[in-house]
Amino acid sequence: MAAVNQDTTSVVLNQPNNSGLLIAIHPLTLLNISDHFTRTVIQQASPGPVHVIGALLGIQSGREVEIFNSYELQFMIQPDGSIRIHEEYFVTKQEQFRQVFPSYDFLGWYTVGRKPSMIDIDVLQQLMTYNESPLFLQMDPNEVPTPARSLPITVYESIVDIVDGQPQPVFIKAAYKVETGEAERIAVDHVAHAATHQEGESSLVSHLSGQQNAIKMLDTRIKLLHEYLQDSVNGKVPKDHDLERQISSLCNRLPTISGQAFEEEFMTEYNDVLLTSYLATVTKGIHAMSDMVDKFNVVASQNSHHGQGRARRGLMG
Amino acid sequence: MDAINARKNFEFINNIRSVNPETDQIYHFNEAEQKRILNESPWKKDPHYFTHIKISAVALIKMVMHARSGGNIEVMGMMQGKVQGNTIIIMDAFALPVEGTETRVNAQVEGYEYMVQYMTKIKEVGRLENAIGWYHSHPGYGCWLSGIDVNTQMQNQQFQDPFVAVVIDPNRTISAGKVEIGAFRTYPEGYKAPDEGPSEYQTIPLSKIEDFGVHCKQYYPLEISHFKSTLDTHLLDQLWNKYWVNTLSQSPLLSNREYAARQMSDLAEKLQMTANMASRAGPGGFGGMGGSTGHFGKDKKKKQEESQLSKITRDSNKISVEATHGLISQVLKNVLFTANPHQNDDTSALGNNPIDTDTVLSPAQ
Repeated sequence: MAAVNQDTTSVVLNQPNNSGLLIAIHPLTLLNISDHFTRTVIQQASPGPVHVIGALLGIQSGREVEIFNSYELQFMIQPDGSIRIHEEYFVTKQEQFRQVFPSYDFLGWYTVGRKPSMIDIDVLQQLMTYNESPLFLQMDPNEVPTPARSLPITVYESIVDIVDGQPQPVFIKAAYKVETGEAERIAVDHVAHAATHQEGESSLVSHLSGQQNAIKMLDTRIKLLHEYLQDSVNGKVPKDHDLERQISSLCNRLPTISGQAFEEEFMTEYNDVLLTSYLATVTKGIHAMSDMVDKFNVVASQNSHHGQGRARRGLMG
Repeated sequence: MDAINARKNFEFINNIRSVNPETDQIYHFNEAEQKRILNESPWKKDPHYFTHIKISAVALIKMVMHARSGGNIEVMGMMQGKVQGNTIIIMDAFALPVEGTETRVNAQVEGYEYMVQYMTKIKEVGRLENAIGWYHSHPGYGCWLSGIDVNTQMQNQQFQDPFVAVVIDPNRTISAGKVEIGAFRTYPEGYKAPDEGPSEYQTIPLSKIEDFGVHCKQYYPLEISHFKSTLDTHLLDQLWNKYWVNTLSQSPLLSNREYAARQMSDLAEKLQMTANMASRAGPGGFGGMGGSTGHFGKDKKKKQEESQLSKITRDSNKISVEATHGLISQVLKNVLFTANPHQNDDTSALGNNPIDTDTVLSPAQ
């Protein structure tokens, strides 16, 4: 297996990807892989390398691919180190997921590891029966995060290239982004910061700190761009016109929305919320008032009929 | 470079950093131990045996996403896990092809075949835990067990204990910005629950309040906590770098408008009811100052109505707090992206003319 592993140069094509595929990955997929890996490592009897393989599920429409979920696959390691996917298992699982999530298709597969090898090309060929060009996601659990590459995953597309006059499938790196639904984001936030949430903490604090963190992030990104531009003005870094155009178009997009219609909508929304708070405050006031009247009643009745008042309190307590 | 690669390769093979054998021990499944616990079944003697539930990161996210995907239809699924002392540990969850669980009694039976098939398949890929509970969604009406749920859960506890019921409200999750989840176990039939004092208050719509009130003494909640693996923690930290944009771009005011409107009309109905009651009890309540000796009936009524009013106050407070949170986000965005985009020396460097030079708020704050 080690011998095959070193043979990495030939399976990844080192050229820019221009397929125009937009890949979005949901955090659930990543956590699923992480869980699969952790559990396999912990469960195995003797320490050693582990291999996990699973299928990626999601929706593809045109050039947009969204990976929502994943599931584990069963496979056999052959004596020569190659991997054989258990096809029957794969088909049954696919059928099961169809029943619950009818819109999800098989889009690709994942493994853990550092670089794709011939083994993965072999797996690719086995899976091509189910999807003509499956995506390949590789997670490296041991990767040290660098600012440029925050998540330890790499996504590859497969294309057919001519190697030594022979058509051969190869991998090509693909860009991806992380996408979350709103419920998913809240759930991810919930588990990510579960330890930091304190009981009885005001919900305003957690809401505002969430917003603040996001804005801080935006701020650091903008600062970075600013720094880059300053440096390029001062000649410290070479000018990249393409990048500058992008930055300029980003700035020109501000203000994002302006106009009468938006202003009106925004004000309506604003006033609606203010009205809601106003009504809530009125309700609160009425409640306090009713409370007060009650207490007043008790005190007044106690003063005029001392004995009976106490007796009643005893009964009610 | 080669040295680094070699070290990385070594670490990969030996899985040094990404899995911590001590803290990640919870991911280990010891079949013999679970069998022993099952044989002892300490929960048979004590109806209040289980007090805690621990839910893994994957399981929680799977359940919340599934609940949300159902929209306003109830969906359900199963959970796999194990027992550790008084704690039920949920490792994973999967969806069942069953919908509308609140309207039919036999919903779980329908998913049974699927469940058995799923469980045998997933054991082959190293997910060894048995089914330990079920979850379903209550879109928009809070986390509690209805009459049908209580029946289902009672049967489960009778025939396949240890078993736990989890309820998720996806709509409230979105509007409150935090996961609304509850875990419950029922008491055996005929068991009289000890008076525990009032449980944590939650808003229940008028149309469901009867169902809630009749059955709420037949089960008790478990304390929920979460756990994640070393690698999960690492990934989650890194994920924040990617999804912070969503925190800014999403608006609970817009995405949950329907739910908010329903909350509001429910509140209005409740208010109307209380107002009617108050006007009936009013003359006695207010006019009886000092003179209402011996009118215990009237006083009691007053007491009840008062607590009604305080409930309504809490509900209305909650609605307005959530709406205000949504508005705060909107206002922040307005300030950031629309009201005053150009500020400080950023603009001069970019060569853009500031459109609006008012100083409202620097983006840094």
